[in-house]
Amino acid sequence: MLLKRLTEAAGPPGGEDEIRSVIREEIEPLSLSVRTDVLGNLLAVRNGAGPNVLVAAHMDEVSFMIVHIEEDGLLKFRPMGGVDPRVLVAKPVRVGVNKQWGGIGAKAIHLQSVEDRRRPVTMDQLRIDVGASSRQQAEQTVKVGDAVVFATECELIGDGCVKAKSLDDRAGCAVMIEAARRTKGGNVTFAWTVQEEIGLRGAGAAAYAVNPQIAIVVESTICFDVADTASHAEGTKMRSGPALSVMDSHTLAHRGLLQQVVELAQAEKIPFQFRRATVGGNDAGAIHLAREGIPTVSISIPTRYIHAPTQVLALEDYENTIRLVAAVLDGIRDGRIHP
Amino acid sequence: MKQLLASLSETSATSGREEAVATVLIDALQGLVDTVKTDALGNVIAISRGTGESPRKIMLTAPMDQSGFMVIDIEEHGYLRVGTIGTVALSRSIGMRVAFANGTQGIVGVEPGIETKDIQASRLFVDIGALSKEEAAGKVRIGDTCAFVTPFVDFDNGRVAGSALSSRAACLALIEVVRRAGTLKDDLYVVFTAQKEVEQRGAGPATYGIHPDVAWTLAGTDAGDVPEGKRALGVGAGPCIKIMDGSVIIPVHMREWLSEVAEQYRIPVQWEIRPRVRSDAGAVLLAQGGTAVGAVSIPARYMGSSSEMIDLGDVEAAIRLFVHTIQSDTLFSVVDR
Repeated sequence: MLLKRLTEAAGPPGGEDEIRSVIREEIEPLSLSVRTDVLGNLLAVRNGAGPNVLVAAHMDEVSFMIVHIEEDGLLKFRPMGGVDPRVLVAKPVRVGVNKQWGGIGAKAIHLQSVEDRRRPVTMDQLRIDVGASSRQQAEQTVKVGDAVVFATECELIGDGCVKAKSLDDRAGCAVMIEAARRTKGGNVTFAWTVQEEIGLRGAGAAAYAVNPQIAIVVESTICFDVADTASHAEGTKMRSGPALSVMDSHTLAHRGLLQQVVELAQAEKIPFQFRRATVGGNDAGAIHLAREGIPTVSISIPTRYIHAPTQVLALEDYENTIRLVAAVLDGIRDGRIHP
Repeated sequence: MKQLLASLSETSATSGREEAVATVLIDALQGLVDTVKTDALGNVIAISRGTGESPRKIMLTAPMDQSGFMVIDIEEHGYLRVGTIGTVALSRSIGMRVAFANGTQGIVGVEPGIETKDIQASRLFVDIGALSKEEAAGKVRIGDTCAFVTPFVDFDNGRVAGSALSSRAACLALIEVVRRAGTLKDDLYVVFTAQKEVEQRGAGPATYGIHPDVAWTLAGTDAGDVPEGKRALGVGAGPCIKIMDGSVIIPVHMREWLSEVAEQYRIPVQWEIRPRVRSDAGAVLLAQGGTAVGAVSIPARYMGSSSEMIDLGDVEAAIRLFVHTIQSDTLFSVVDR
């Protein structure tokens, strides 16, 4: 399953080699003109007719870096991307290119008072345990600077759902691959970008290089329609279709383009919702400000437990996102959507 | 011009939704410039071609937008849930009137039992007086925005007050600059910037597209001349030449140039130093390979509130300062070093 191959690959920000080669293999049969830029963005071009379009999804996932190996063989680490430390305790991870298994534990928790235990654990108190007996022993399989990803496997669960790590944004990467397979023609650059989680870094460079007339960003986004959450705090709802952004912390939606996408979705009877939030960020933040500014629309798959070890999405939302992205690409090619 | 200023001030135009103000400005520019276009971010760019043999490019900017709220949810009983656009003093918004671009008005409320200091946007709502979710949904949609809007007040002594007044006055000032400056040897680009309240997103890309040889920005700045205030800047004491703010240290030669023009034409000026605020000048400075930028500010009390106060004498002085600057024969000596 495409989502399984993509989510189980490692891709820390700045170290996206493995996921890039998986994607590269997937798009090989499409005969696009493929290159990797100096930052590691994977760019695949279809030189057809129509306005120059950039479609982007980021390859990197929230992860960690080993910053110190202690004498007792436990590993200190720091995040790459925004991770709530409270989701980390007792989670299994894979360290470095050897994918050494590790478990995240809290240091000296039994020495804490009852008061202390009420306070959330900070990342500084956590350690990764690879079962080493000493620093020297640990250094046989891991080293300072190694990247760490969650060890979650991808599986189908429940009623047409998928659980995996890094659905943010491998789901977006998969949507782009499928959209590339299902569409023809058009003047399109598909960009699987790097380093989004640490500051939208790959996308800005890609947008500058491609200088498109329209950009589409495909992301996973917050979906907190669980546990008595008030409607206005949900962001999105599962099984309500791809979510169109109106605003986030880095971008105010291009109204004209958004309206055209809404009308196209309605005409093609593709279910959609609005991303009901004003915070968060994605590659659009960097793309829409490139050069003289680029009209950009963000289309996102509702994803529960984003930035946590196990994320969940509904396959019907994933499928409808593919349909919408493909329809937008065809719409731009045919002049139904214009810059 | 006062009437136009009043109507602009009473227009709700939040960052990213500047259309209502843009339309008025584009209309006012008719016959004054060669072309007007709107870019991908909503910046309005008015262009007048110079008559000289090798015209260079002068750029002036003023911001159109104001901060406000965006609707992110419509509740069961017709209440709107919102997020903030730009900086909004949440505790001071309770009970304030807001207006949407389509004329719908609302009142900002807060869930009961929240301490003033603990108010967050997620505890606020906007009440548009709807009796049901359906009625509310008929008037506003997810993504619609509203801003504080109050009636324009003229105190008949030069002082005026209203919403977003310093920014809207800066916009009208630049139109007046274009009118009075007439034909120039060089190309003049006047940019009414979008999204200044959200990290100045409009100014950078606009400057990138134009690539001017020299640029000046006009906007509002906080005046401290209130009771017990530090009185650094005074309303009515003249336009402020920016020395620095949190996003830009104005090149010394650019501010000294403005100072010389002010002295030559006996325009009273003040000096602005604002380490903790950011401005369009900062975005202009770093565009392309760097831009020579100078900045002037109109002092305003109660900036960002529903009702700012400015002195039209300061606006008039800013207009004169800009006109003499861009008409100057030795203008480019300030950048050709």
